[in-house]
Amino acid sequence: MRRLRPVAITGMGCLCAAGLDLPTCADYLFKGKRFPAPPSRLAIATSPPYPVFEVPDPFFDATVLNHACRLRNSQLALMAVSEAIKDAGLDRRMLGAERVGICIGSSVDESIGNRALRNSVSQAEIPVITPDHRFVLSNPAVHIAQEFELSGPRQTVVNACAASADAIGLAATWIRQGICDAVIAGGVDELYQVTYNGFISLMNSDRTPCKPFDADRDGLNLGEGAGMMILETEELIRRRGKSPRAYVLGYGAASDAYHFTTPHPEGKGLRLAIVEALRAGGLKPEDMAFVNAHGTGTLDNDRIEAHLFHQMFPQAPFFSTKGYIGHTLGAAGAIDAVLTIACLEQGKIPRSAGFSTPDPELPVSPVSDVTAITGSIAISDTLAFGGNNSALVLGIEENGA
Amino acid sequence: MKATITGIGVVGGFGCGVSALEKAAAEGSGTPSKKFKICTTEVQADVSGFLADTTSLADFVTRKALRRIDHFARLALLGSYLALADAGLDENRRGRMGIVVATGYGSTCDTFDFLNTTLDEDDPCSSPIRFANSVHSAAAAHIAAFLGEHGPTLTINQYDMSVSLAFQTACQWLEEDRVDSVLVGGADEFSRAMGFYTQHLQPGRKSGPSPNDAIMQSPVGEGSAFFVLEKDSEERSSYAHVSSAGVTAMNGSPDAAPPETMMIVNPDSRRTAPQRGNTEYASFAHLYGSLPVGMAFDIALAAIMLKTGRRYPSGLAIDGDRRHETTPSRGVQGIDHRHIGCLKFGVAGDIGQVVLTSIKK
Repeated sequence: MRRLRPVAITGMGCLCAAGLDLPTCADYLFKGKRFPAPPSRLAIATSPPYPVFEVPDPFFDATVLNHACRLRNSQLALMAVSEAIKDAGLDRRMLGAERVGICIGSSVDESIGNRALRNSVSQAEIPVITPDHRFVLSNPAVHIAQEFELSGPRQTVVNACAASADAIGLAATWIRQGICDAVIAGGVDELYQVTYNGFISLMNSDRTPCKPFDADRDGLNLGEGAGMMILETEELIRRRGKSPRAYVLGYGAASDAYHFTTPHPEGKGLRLAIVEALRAGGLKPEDMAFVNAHGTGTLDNDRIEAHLFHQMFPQAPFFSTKGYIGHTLGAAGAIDAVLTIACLEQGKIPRSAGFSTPDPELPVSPVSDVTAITGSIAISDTLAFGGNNSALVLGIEENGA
Repeated sequence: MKATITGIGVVGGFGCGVSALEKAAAEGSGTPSKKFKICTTEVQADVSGFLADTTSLADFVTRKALRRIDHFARLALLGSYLALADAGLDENRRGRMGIVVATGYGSTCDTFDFLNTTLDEDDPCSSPIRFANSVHSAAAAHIAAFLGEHGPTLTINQYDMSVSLAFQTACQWLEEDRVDSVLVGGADEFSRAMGFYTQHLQPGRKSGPSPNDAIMQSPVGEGSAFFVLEKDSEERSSYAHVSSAGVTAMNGSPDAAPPETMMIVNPDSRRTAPQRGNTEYASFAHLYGSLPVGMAFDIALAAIMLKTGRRYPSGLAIDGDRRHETTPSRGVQGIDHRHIGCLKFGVAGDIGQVVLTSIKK
């Protein structure tokens, strides 16, 4: 892996259980409170229900959009994209005049459309639409393109929980290789009955608020939301007279090649992904001001990350956002990416919610208080079903530390 | 663009492997391999399908190792093993290999089974294996695990644009030196739900196809087509260079291909190819059926034709605003094109295009 050019981020948007825009979400983390609750929109068979982190309603503002949109997944995406576009100082006319691509990570994208089809088939009814029509109606990238009349390529990455970190990494390549002038990159996932029951079936869900890296951790809580960013070419930024807000300095991805639902016991894929991301940015582990961990609260995931952080980033404090917003699956990498940049901008990281008792089997623990950080670069990592691991190195200065 | 196709692995209704595809293409015939009975509230019907047999996966892995692997992942695995064998790329030579899987439907059978248990029975203790296999990235993950590959693994699900985007990503990874080789391909499986869909398109139904529906020109298909891409190679055993790959503007025109490019068009579309000079159009969906990743089979045929210099009889060709049958009976002919482009007009308005160029001899 050779060193690659940094790619500028000019705008960001986020909504999740912590708030309906990025400033609110970032402030929420530093208040140290959290409000997991039983799902309000799902039919629940378990008693008591497993807590989740839902986006508070009403979150969707149809008045800012030109097109109607009924799917919650696309509504979440459109709200985050609208915020990112506004933050970047772009408007619809500017977007229409440039080659603007869309690269979105999601894990429930196709499943949502499948549910309607499944209902038709189970009732022996011929579906009212064909698969292609269903795709057009349910794909967030298509909805974003239609809403903002974008003419560039659209891509949906479905790498499970690493999907949106990968989407951002791929979008940076689109910019570097001149495929687009700008890319809307990020991820979205709504809370969905299939994943809710799926993680219960895997015995990976915690019946109480999740406790990442804690000795008593017992699994994850699901969440929902979207994180989006605008990546732009240097030429477009210069033409617009805009200053970048942050940079994608490095991206790495690697596979565990081990087991579908269990991470490699020594975190082989995650280590390779981190090494690749650092090399791509021409950076060293000690350049990292902090690590935004995947930190789901599952036994294996947290153990592997803690051991790797101890070996690779012994100097860097780390935390997990999952205790505040739950695990947002395909959106997690992007939400963590924009929150990582928000933390760099504020020069501090929040306490890792849910952590109180150090695990004697883990060599390091996350921060338990709001912690000041030094430096302008941080790393955010994700682990996913299938052994997909991704890492993004993000900075608020182009040349790093 | 710096990539060369050095190996191809295909499995579909035509059989398994490059030679089976060549044989079917040379004969110009495609016969759906299986029929399914569909009982709906409106009609009982036999649905024909180009269904794929993955039995020969046993040539590469033990049956025991496959016991938790569903049909969708088996299709992708078999295509992958065949492509690697065709390229002669063993693990000592492939360096850091990336894996990119394109799919339009994902693992539909396991997804529907899991949906049935969670939605009808509301069973929170439904099969964790079905849940795991229903995740779209399952096939890519199984490929990586079986091959022991630690490179980047990616699954793209942009319906009928998935294949061209997968090729674009594979070429970008090579360009950035992220990997030394890429295993890239597409896979989709047939499910009962697909059979129901075909009934939607039957003429005479009260709520038949709307202007938003693309028309399936062939019986439903399933299968996988995988490719080994390596950095530019002039080796005689290679198939072709990938000279461009990507998706062009929504409702725009395809990127300009080199002059005298033969175009293979996947016919499941509401749009048709623009008339461009003396461009020759062809289609081969009659060999593999109708599926979102059908373009991957077109790419395989384009690569084979450029390597062998043989042109196979086309099925339904799309030329300008007209669709017409060419003459499949004309048999195999010589090919004098240096470039073959594969085109797919997406249902959401975009255009996927992968252009191959022959290896200099």
